[in-house]
Amino acid sequence: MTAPRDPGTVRARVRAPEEEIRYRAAGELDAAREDERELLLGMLGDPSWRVRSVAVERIVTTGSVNEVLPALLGLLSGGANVGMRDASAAALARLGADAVLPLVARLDGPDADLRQAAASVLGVIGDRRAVVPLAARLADPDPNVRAGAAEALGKIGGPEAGATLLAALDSDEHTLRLSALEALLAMRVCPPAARVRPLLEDKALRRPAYRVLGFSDEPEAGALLAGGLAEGSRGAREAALAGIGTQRTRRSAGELRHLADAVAAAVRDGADVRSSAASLEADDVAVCVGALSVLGWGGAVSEVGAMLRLAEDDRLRPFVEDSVEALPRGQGLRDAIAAALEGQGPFGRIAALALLSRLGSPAALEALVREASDPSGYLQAEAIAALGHLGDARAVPPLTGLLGDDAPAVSGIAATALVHIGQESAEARAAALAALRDRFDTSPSASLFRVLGALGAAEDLPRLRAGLRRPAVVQRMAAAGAIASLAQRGALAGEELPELVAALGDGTWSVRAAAARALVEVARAGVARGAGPLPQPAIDGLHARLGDPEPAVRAAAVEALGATGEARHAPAIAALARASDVPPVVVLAAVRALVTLGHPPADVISRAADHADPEVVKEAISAAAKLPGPEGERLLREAAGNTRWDVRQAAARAMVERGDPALRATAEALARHEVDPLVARAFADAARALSGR
Amino acid sequence: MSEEEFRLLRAVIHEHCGLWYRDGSAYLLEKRLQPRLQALGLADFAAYHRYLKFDPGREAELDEAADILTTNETYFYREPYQLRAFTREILPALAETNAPLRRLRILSAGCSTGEEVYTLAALVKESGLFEGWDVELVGSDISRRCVAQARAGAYGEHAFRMPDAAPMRRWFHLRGGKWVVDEALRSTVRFQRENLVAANALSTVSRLDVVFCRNMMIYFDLQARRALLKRLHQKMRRGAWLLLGHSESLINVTADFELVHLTNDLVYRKPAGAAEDGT
Repeated sequence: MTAPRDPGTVRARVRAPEEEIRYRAAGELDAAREDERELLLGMLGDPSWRVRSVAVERIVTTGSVNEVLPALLGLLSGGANVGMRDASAAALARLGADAVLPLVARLDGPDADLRQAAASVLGVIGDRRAVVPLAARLADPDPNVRAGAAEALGKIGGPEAGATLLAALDSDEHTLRLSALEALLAMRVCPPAARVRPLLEDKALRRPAYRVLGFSDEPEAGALLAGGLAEGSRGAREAALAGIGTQRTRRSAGELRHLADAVAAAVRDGADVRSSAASLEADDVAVCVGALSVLGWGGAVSEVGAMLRLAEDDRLRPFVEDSVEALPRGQGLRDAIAAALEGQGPFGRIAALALLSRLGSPAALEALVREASDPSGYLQAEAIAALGHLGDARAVPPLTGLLGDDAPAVSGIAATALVHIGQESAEARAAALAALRDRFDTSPSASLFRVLGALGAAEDLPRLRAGLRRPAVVQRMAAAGAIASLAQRGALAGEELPELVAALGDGTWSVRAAAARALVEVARAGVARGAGPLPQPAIDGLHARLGDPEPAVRAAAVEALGATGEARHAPAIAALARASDVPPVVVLAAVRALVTLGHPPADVISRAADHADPEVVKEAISAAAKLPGPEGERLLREAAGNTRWDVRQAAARAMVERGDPALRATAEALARHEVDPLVARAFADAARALSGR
Repeated sequence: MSEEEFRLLRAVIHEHCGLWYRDGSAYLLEKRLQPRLQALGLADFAAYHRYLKFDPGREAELDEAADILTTNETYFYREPYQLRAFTREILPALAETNAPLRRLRILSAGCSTGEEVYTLAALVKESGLFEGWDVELVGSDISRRCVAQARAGAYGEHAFRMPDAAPMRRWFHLRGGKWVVDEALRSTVRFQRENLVAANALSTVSRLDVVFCRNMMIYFDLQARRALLKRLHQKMRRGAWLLLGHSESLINVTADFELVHLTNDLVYRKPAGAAEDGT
């Protein structure tokens, strides 16, 4: 509590005509003092929003809940002063859990305005204790209270609120059905498509119904959304586009196949794609994405210019590229793009050039190469990536030239682009390898090593081994990484790698770590071939690195020893994990390695499950799935109640991994009560998997 | 990018620089960060998350990620109605209130590649109200790449795409296919790279008369918005102006600024009676 102030001065400032004086006075008041608390409560009705706002802040930060709560509840009915009611609602929302039960009690009061206000605040607080009492208010005699309760349930979310709102869709009362549907939309929960279908017949429900279909995973939703393209009113049509756009942002290309087919069929049946083109200008991103998708799937070649112009918007660019790719190829598209090129912004131009190049235009390819080679342009990376996606061997020479670029972002993207091209066909790979090998003697950059690892063969191994002796650290690291890639791709056949073992003792930690990581892949490849473990010098080198001062090196060495599959290394790894003050990355690698080696020690797993770092905990939970006996199950159940969503999700995955049907009931219960939709889905999946369905 | 990877990555990024990606915007993060996976040779976003958590190079990579995520292409004379309010009402008011000191300080928070700062500098010059004054415009952005480009002051044709931007060309010279800013304009501006949400942000900036903070807070969560506004408030003079993007407001964020109705725009202002240090 602050020192006493002169009450007369305080009152004068609180009542001063100047807003700023009142604002500053409110900021100095202390709600723990009875006289000042009264002043602050009175200021909730101040004509200035700034004063009301700071009064709310002071009431909730300096007052005790017991003293301010009754007064705030009293003000919630507000009378004629809307500002006061809103400010007291804001303060109650800030009080959070403490205000829930008193607000729930107000839901049964005689004053409908108060019931509605209480429901609204409960929605903002989001406490699930309010779900049942709010559900009861869906039958309130006052329609505004019913709508307010539905909205609040939508904000609180969770399975119980969702089920209640779904039931409300069957109500005879139109306003309640609308509120429930909008609340489900806020929750991003779509009712079964069969239940949405009749709602589309209702003019007032049509828009939220189309939008909520965006969150459906049922194939039927695609047909309903495509049907919406023929709606007569622009509002309903754009709602259908928003639903399509939402589907597009949520789902993979494979999952969207039904929707794409349905849209194409709707267009064939006469749905007007020009109206979708008009919606490209909409403010709502979901509508724009929907419109792009419809134009792409519907083959609206003539709209390609308008589609490309949206590439300047960062949020829409990925959808522009995908949608123009979906347009039917041919001279018509080529002409349409060429005609539209002039009016494009920089990103639209790159997308247009890439598409023209793919359609066989040498001039466009040259223009793209020029953009890719212009270091001053911020579109350079975009152009390089576009060249890679072409999959055209003609792009190999310019991209190979960029592998030596000083900017790692440029050379790295060029390397990825070359890998893309090399993976397109045997001819493209041969062209890329010829260019790489040719360039190796003059400028063996780190990025060149990377591409060589990704596309090369055993005949490139001498080049990579030589790379491990190069003076530049980045090249030695990259050479080790490239050997790892060759091993991963099965391109090695047990060749001697003395340079790699020597690199474990390199003076630079990043090279030592890269060498150890390469040995992970070499060891795995050996195991996969059924060949023996790593040569003894490599094993000795890795054991020596368990004491490396750099945690990243220790972790990589642990992982490599684990990858040998030889149980004899387990004691050394477990000892490392049991030591005090071990960095999280090392514990994580140790847990993983011990699992690979079989029978991880329970004490190591239990300790890791209690670790402060959630990544370690998740690894331990994954390992606990394989722990025999009650300890493993105990760890899984504990993790399922963790405060972090990602740990709970890891627990759900581990339950599946453990495969113990006795955990099914637990998973089902967790799925029912889980607040986080992603985790709830994971527990539901686990329950299904454990029941054998 | 799976939803799990999205959530984990957005948490790491939020912790680093206050940027907040809403549910359903995984594709944005994926598109922007994909080149980083390529540059680092990582297989997937789970590996990238692990890199950002544990790799010894994580701090540098977090800066790199912030750089990529905050690089937004912009253009001259953006939101012209607001710039007209700035020219017709705010600058004349400042010419009067600041006349005793003959000093003007303007900040463009989240200046991206500098188009806004150069636009403001041109408007100040063209107003003719501040001849011989000590004028400085500061552009601040977290992206190293953006700040470098802003300092270079070289732009493509597309930066002039707004019809109102046509007169801006008089401050630029066409060199090697780029429009390069004239020294007379460049000398009144400076750019600095910093994280405006950090506690020590704007420590090298003196008391500000106008802050443009347009379309930047939309990328922040409430906590980061409040931190930023508190910092700006502390650095502003009493009566200094705050201009936000057309879709932004301070409702439910802070009450430290008052809303001012200009003839054609609504802007915010640090109250004339407020304490200079923002308390």
